[in-house]
Amino acid sequence: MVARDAVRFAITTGGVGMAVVLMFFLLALYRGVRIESNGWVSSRPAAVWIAQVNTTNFIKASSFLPAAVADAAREQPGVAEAMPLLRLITLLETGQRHLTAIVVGIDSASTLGQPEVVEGTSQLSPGDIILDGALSRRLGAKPGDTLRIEGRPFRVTGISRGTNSVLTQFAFITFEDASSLLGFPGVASYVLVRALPGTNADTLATTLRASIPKVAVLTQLDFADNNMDELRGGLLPILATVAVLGGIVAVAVLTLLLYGSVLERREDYALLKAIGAPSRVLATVMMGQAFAVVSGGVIVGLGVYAIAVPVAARLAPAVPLALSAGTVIVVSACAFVTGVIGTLLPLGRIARIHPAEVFRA
Amino acid sequence: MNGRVAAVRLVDVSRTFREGSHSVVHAVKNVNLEFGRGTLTLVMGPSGSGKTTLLSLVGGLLAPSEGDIEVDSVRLASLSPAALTEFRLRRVGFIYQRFRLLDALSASENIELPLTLAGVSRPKSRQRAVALAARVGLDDRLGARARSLSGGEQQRVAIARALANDPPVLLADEPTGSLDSVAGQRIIELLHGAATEGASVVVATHDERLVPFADMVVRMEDGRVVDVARG
Repeated sequence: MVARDAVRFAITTGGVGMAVVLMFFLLALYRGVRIESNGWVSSRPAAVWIAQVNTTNFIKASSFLPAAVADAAREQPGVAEAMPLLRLITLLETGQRHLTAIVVGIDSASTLGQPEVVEGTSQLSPGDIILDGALSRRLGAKPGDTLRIEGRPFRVTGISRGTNSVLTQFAFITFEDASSLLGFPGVASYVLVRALPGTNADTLATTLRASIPKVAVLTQLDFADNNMDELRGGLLPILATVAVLGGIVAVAVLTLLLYGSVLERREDYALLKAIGAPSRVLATVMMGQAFAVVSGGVIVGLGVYAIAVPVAARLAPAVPLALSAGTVIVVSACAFVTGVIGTLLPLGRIARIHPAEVFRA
Repeated sequence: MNGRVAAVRLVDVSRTFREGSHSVVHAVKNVNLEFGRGTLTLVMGPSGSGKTTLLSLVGGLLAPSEGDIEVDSVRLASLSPAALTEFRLRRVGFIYQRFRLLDALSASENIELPLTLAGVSRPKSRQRAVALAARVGLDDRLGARARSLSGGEQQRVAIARALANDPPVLLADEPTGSLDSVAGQRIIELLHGAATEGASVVVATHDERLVPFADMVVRMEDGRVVDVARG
């Protein structure tokens, strides 16, 4: 019945759709932050990271090493390649805009440091810069544009993804340019080490610890996990809390909407009872209506999400949203379960409606 | 009863309602009546006289506090709640003052509702709805949403719905109360027609225009039958 009343159906499904889209956004944000903020570190094709003593991660630690550590690493057995990288936290300027970013100096000839480039090239020459996609949108800089770091011009040659740590973003320049910007030649932040085929990462880490003094050596797996732990201790719990609270609100809204939509048709149910509809028919009608409303709500939610994502990307480019098929399935299933609950709750009241009520003027 | 077989029999029927914790209202008191098949019976009286309660009792919507009711040879007191639901579906048609159509459904779907509930197949219920719509003069309005129909049209749909399962008893509560005189006259003719075709039509009404069509007029006051006039 409710599906045939266009206005009522639109209001109810719209409300359910908003509850669903709230959950899509919160879970997509949680997943997006989880993937993006650790994306570049966790996807390095390295076996081992070498860092300054006591440094355990990339996000919340400073690390300075002699660049010569890379040369020392190359001489060790089992090492295929060792690449120094230099991390700077500095200001990028384009015309009227200026933003702080993590600028990573890499050897672009090596895939150890190369980010995943979605536009332009991953090859860097002196004076080139690859910007994270969100950073590019926030700065309003696209490939071919020029920006300045410490007064020096850099030409944007590529746009990367998986390089948005939410609070800030990554940019990539040559190691030599980074070294020049730092002003201290011969310094690296980390050394990424690739193992020869058949060499175990733990064994290689042990070898490097034994042969290079006064450095921290961590396997890629441990380093990425440490990074994720830092995220878990920072932004992710806040987002998880917001997602849980949002979920509770969404469930409450959804339940209330369905509960209300059932009760508001009390007279219709009284009529059905009066003309001889058995209780199972009423329950079937109510469940059918809940199914129609929730199905409509999920479709509305997906539609609104699809429309809102590009808008959100424009308004808040640093906010990563990653909605998975799994999330859509779980949220939809939760919406249907909530729909059933929201319908079952007033079932007792509907069952108690006296069919003689239909005679009330 | 004009010698006709009784479709409805009420024996010493009373119905009380509790009002608050101490007060008891006697809505119907010691009523003994018989409504014949193929007759139109009017139940008349002022508001609060017990007309609607009487219809609810006959329709199995309310159980009597005392007494016995038999409809179409079925003793209502012997029926389980599920059987009573089935009884209302197949043996009684209800017509209300405010039509009580489901707004979101079309005229045809409203007429088909009792047939659907009775398990009649879609093509057959559709065919029946078309025939009933023609009978009440709404064959050209079958696809219209209930809310888009005029009051008179809605009441005609309600009559068609009440007739859908061809019930032996038709109960109408102030069927002309919300209609103008022209639409009301059409409803009177339809109810009279239903009685002519064999149904026992019981109408609770204030509308004196129905009296000339009635086989029996029952007048009630304070829950009691104070007069029974046979036509």
